[in-house]
Amino acid sequence: MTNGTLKISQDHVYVQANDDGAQVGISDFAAEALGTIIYVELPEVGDEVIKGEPFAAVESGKASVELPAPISGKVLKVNEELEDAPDLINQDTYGKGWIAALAIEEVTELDELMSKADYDLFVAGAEEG
Amino acid sequence: MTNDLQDGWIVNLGQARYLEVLDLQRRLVELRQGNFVPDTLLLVEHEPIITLGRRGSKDNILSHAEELASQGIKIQRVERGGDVTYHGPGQLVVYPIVHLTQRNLSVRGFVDLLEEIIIQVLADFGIQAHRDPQHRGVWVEDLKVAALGVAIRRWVSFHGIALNVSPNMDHFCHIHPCELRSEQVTSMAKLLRETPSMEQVVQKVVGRFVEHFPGRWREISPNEVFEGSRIKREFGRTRTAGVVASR
Repeated sequence: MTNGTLKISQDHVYVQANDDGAQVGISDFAAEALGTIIYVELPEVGDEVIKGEPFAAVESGKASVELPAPISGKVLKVNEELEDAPDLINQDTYGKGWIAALAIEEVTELDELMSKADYDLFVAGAEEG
Repeated sequence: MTNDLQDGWIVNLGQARYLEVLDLQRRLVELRQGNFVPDTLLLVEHEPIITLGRRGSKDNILSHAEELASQGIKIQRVERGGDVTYHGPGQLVVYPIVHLTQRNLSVRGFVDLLEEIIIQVLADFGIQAHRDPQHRGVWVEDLKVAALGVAIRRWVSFHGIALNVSPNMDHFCHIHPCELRSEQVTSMAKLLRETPSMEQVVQKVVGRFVEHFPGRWREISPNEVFEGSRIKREFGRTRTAGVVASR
């Protein structure tokens, strides 16, 4: 299985295309900023997610944060391991901490997302205010 | 931009139904995302109701639904964080609808501020309260006086923090509030010889809130907010423009 390029939205949600479709999850920066994730509300297989609309939610410290989808597409798989171990997101968000796999509808939507390098600059800039 | 203080609305709803205010919050969140309304602080007292957060377990509701219904207590599942909580008369519920990224706030920073505001308000009334790193909310010794549960939708907050001023403490016996036993909950009335009025507490909360969320805050009426948010999206734009023009 080859991992595709990592792309990240301004909402701190990543997309990583591989054989299973496009895996989506939250960025390392977001995982760190939120602290220990204690609950993940997963979408359901077959859901049609729409770019920019919430598709899942993560909870940390009594705050439930809805995640806007970085791209549109049908949910092919969800990471059920997160039900028992939501902190996999904190440990390995780009690996075992993926949330869902989507079928990519419009490849061009990926072009609207940032590369990891650009994203790192984006969050560094945001932190400096 | 940095010198340009954001507008803000303060709405004291008095007593209002949970579901009506939930609906209002959801509409305001959507309007806030589009910058049609400024940050808004809602203050309200609800009828007796038990709410469950996204991961909330019905196991933490101790009484049967029929028994609760016979006492007029409803159960509602909502999108906030946290488990089960109780709202009712005598409890001040504070819902800040705040655009976190526009204020450069992290989710954690925002939650910290809400706790800090309540801790300072309690100090204003002579109660020494603190936070617990393991358990969100505000505590007096090992008793919980304010419960917290927020939701973030596209970087706009809703839901919030509920401060027990003088609620009917017996109602907490229907639940395990966030995995606590009900006797681990307290109120300002239990802690003070003289219970402040809800209005006094509201004033202090607004005062502390405005300190921590700088802006040109002004009070607007519940009617304006309910009607305006229902009728049209331009509501906020005209309202805010009017404020600017009148200066």
